[in-house]
Amino acid sequence: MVEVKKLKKYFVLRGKGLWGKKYFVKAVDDVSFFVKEGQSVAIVGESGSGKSTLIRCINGLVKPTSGQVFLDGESVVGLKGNEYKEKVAKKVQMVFQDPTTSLNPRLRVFDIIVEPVLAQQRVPKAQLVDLVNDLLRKVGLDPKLSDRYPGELSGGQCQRVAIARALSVRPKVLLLDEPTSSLDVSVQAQVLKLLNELRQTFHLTYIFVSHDLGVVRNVAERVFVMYLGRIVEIGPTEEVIDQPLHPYTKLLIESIFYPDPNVEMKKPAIVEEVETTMNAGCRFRNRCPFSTKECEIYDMKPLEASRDRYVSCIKWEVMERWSS
Amino acid sequence: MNELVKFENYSLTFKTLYGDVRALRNLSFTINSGEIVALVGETGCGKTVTALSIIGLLPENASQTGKIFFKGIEVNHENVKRIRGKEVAIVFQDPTSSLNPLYSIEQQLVDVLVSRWDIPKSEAKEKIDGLLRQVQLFDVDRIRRAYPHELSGGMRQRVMIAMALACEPSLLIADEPTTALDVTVQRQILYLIWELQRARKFSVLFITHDLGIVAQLADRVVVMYAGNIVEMAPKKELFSNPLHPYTSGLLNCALDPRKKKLPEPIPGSLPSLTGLLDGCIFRERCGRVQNDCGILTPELAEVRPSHFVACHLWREQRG
Repeated sequence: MVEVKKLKKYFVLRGKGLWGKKYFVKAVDDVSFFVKEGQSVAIVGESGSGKSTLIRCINGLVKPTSGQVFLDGESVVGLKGNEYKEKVAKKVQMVFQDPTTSLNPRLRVFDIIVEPVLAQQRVPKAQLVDLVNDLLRKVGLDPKLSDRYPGELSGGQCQRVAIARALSVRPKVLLLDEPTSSLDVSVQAQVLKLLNELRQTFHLTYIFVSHDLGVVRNVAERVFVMYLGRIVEIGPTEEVIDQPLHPYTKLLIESIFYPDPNVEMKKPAIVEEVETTMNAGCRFRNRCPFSTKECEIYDMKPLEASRDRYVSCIKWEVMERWSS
Repeated sequence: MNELVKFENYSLTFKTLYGDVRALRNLSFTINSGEIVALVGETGCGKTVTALSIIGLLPENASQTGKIFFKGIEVNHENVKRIRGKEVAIVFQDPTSSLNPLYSIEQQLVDVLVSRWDIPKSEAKEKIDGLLRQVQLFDVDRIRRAYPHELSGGMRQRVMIAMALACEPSLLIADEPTTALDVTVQRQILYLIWELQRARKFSVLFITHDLGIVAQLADRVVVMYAGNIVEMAPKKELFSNPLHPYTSGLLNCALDPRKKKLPEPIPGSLPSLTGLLDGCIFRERCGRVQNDCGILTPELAEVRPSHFVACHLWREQRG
């Protein structure tokens, strides 16, 4: 359904001063993966790991430096105008992190939801009213809210409107950029439940960005762990969380605070500062307790650890033996 | 254990154009010396204003009734300055906006030390190295001269903690100190606070909505809902035996990455804080509502040893 091949996105920055030396920030660096139809996939990583840039490359919000994105087998990078609408906008829609900034405060809920539809084609008003009422009901809102402004709604209601807007063109793929991280826990639970139900009803494919592994466990079947522009581990959610292979994934999982009062406070692993412009070798080697000379030349090519599990670490087998 | 801070029937109302917003209602609780109290609740439940009330950092349209005692003395307009920044220090949520971008870290730390201890600047400068090392910032020479934007989020928050510790407070208020940080950094900052607290025995009022953090950091938990304390208990007791329907609802919403369990959301949303409601504030979202809930406002009562709850369901057991 969605396939990404050797995708790269470099941002050019300048050093100090007007004639400062140019340098690149490799936000996404040689990433390849595919997502099957109907699957739910989570991209996990810390801020700056390139996870948002990666999904923005899929729907064309960010133009990749090089590489290919395929939707239904068709290459979609750099499409414009009607071709973009037909091949991308109809198939892929996005829900952003903060609904208070992703919804136009001057439009009523009705206009927000129909905007993507009208961008595609003309539709008679009566049909639009039916569509909006139906969508609002599906996302668990009262159709009466359709003449309200976003400012009159709560954060959870706004996020439901944003989801309704994304669904209005009947897309196949939903890109979700931390859709619950600005919400309260009780509201987060409501939205997650809704997302799970909608996936069943509309047979959607989810590509989900999150840093919260608790959320990931509940919505995703597969996980991609990203670190400084690279995918370092891929696998089924349960396996990755229960038996992480990459040292970075291990660090992430050790950092979790479990809602369980019997877990004792542990001393965290010492973590060095992150250098964002590292070019060669394993990106994680400065923070990694297992790194050696070999890691400086390793190109982070994913290694197959078991069926459907890939890890970008040459030491994973050694570490496995060491920890067991 | 003696009482460090004591709230007694404390209520807080903000006068706005749209009517009075009853931000806090009849709070009564204590923070003992040497313990970590977690204040838990969702956005708008009054966690932050509770903390700000202790140090008198409230906006002008606030009107308060009831009393707050600090070390047995009632806090008022005159003596609050002797507490704020001296006996009580605060670490805010976003270190980027709480540090002054125009001054170097050294200048900002010197200011704190001079105003707290009334010492000359030269003496204050000598103390900075030690303060920074305490919060595990070892590259002291660089950090002294650095401006906030040259440091990472985690380092800035460490500087904030160093500033708070410079006051040698008896109470440290930490208002969601790690929400703006990455998970790996979060773990380090929280461990730092925990370790310093164990070593120095100051009290911590920890404000958060993350039950995972509460579970590992807190000694005692105060659960707030819409300006009310609904439950209060030692940590293990609260997690293993939540009594208030809101608390159990919150615990059911918490996600544990170790198991796949769909959260059970609490239906509905927060009630409006304007207008006076009789009865239980949670009744519209409660699954176990009774006749009394609409008429009588439940009071916080001790139903088990040091386990307080404000709910009619437990009225019989009050004894």
